[in-house]
Amino acid sequence: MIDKLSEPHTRRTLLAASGAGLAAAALAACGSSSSSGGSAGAAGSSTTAGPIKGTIQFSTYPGWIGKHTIADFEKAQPAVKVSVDADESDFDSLLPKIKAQTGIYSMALASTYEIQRAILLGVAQELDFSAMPNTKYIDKKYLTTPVNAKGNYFVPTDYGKYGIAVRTDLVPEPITSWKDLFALSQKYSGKVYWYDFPKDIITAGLLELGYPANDANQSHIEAAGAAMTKLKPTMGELGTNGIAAALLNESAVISVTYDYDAYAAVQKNKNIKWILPSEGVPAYLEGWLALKGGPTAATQAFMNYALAPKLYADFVSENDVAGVMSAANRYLPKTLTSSEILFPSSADLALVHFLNFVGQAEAYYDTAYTKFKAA
Amino acid sequence: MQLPARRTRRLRPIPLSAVLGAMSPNLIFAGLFFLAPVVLVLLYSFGTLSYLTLDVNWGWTTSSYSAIVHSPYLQTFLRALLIAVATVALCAPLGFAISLVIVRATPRRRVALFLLVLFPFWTSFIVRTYAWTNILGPRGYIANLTADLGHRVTLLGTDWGILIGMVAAYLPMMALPVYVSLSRVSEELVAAARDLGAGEWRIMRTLLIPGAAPGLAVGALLVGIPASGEYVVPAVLGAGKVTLVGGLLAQELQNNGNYPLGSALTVGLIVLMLLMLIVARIVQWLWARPRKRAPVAVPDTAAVTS
Repeated sequence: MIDKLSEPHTRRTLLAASGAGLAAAALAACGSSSSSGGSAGAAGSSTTAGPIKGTIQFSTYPGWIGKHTIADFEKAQPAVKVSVDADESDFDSLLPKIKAQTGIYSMALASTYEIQRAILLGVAQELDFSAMPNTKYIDKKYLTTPVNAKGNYFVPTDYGKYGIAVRTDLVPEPITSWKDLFALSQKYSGKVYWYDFPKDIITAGLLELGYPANDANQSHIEAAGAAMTKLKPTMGELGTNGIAAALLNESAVISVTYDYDAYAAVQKNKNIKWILPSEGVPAYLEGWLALKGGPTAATQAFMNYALAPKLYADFVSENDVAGVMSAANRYLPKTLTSSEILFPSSADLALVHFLNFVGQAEAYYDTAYTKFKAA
Repeated sequence: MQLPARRTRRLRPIPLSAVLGAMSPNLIFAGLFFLAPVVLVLLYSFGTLSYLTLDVNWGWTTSSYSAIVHSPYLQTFLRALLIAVATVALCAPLGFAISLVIVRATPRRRVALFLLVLFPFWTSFIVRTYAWTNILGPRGYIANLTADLGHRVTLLGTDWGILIGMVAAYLPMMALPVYVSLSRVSEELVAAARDLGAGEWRIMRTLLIPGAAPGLAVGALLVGIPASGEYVVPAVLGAGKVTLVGGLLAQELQNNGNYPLGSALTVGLIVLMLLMLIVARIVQWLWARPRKRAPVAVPDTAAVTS
C-alpha cells in the first residue's frame, strides 16, 4: 500500500489506493488480532492498516538491537519474520550489492551520509511517519536532519563520537587536541591504536590540519590523507576490535576510538580518560532506512515497535551507546545517563561534527583512505 | 636372412569436428567460467566509475591503469611480490628438510611424520592465522621474550609478521611435492654413492637436490602464486597497517564499489602471476638443459701396466 502511494500517482490511483486502504482497515477492525494492535500494548500504537506480513531482511551490526525486540515483535506479528544479517561492514560497502539486487535487504542500519547516498542512488524507500507514531519520541534535532529534508527516509537510533581515550597513568602529557596527539604519537609509537573507519580517519587528519569536517576540497582531503599516512608507522594497530580494550592490558596507551568503545573500557579502569579534541570531533548519526523492494508496511511496523521508549532503552543499555531519545532515559541505568562520554554536556556537544554526504568529494575520501592503507 | 617388414596399420586422422566434439564440454566450461570472467574483468578495467550513481561508463580509458602506476598501489604490488618471493625462498629449504626427514624415516614413522605435515589442514585457515596474533602481538611470546632481552619487538603489523604467517600457512604446499620428488630418488643410488666415498654434502648436492628439483619447482608455484594475492594472512597479521594486493582488491571492489579500478588491479595481479609462471619456466628450462661436462680423465692403463 505505502509502496504504491509513494510512487507518482494520479487522482484515480490515489482514490483506488485509499479505498483499498479503508477496506483493509475495516477488515482488520473486524478481525481479532491480525492487525498491528497486537504490538501496540507493548510498544505503543501503530496505525498500519490491514494485516501486515512478509520477511524483513535486516542488515545491521551484530547485536545492534534490543535483546528481545525481534522475538517479541515476531510474537506480536506472527505473519512477519525478521531475518537479521549481522555484519560489521559499513552500509557504504553494501550499496553496490543493494543497487544490483533490489530487495536483497528490506531495511538497514546506516549513517546519515550513507543514507544520503542511498537516496541519490534511488534505493531508499520513503517512510510514512504517520504509520510510525513512536517516531514522536525521538528528539527533534536528530529527526530533522538534512537526510529527511526531502522526505522521511531516516529513523535515527544512536550516534557516536570519534575521540581519544588515554591511559592518564601512563601518558603524563596533557592531550586536548588532535595536534597534541599527532605530536605525541612518535613518543608512544606502536602504543597508539586507531579505530579503522575510512571517513573518520581522514576527517581526523583534516581537523588536525585546521580544515573543517565535511570538507569537500580535494587538495585538503589529499593533504589529510598524506598526514595520516605519515602518522601510520606510529600506529600500533588499525582495527575494529578491542581498540579501547587494548588500554586495559597496556598494549595501547592511547586509543582513538568511538565513545561506546571508550565507555566500556572506562568502566574497567578509571585511569582511562575520554577526550574530545578541541579542533572538533567527527561523529556519525546513524539509524534505519527502508530499502526498495522490501515489505515496507512490515518494515515500518517493526521500526515503530522497536522505537517504543522501553524497548529503545533496552537497545541503548545493551550496547552502551549515545541515544537519541530523551524519553527513554528514565528506563536507563543511572551509570549510563550520568556518563559524560555517552551523554556529554552541551559545551562538549558543540565540538561534535556529524559527517554529511559531500557528493562527488566522497570519492576523494575513498581515494585518500585507500592510499593511506596501501602505503 | 632379412625378416619380412612387418605391416603397420596407419592410423586414420581423426576429423577436426570429432576432436572439437570430444573437447566441447571442456571448452564450454573453460569459456564460461574462465575466459568470460577474464574478458569481463579486462573490459571493466578500461571503464570509469560514476561515483554518485555507481554506474560504470565504458569509455576505453586507461585511467585506472595510470592510477595504479601513479600511486602507492605499485608499491603494494612490489611489496606483495617481495613477500611472495621471500615466502618461497623460506619454504623451499624448510620444505626440503621436512621432506628429507620423512623420506629417511622408517615406514611407520613416515606415516606419523606425514600426518604431522598435514595436521594444520585439520583446522580452519583463519583460526590458524589468528593463533599467530598471540605469538606475534604486543603481549605475545616474541614480544615478551625480546622485552626480557632488553628491547620489545612486536611483529604483528609488520612485513616480517606477515612473512612468518605466510611461511606457516604455505609450508605444507612446498613440503608435499618435494616429498614426492625425493621419494623417487633411488635409495640404492644414494647407498652406491656412499659406498664410493661420496660425503653427505656431495650426496645432497649431486643426488638429492637435483632429485627434489621438480618438486621444488611445483612447490614454488603452489606457494608463490597464492601468496602473491593472499588476503587473509595480511588482513589478520597486518593489524590493519600492512595491506597487500588482496586487501587492495577487497577495498576497491567491496568497499568502494570501484569495479574499473578493482578490475585493473586484478589484471595487474594476473600479470604478476603470469610473470611468476614465466620465471619458473625459465628456471626449469635452465635446470633441465644439458650441461657441458668436463672431459673425464681416462687413466693411461698402458703406462700403469708397463
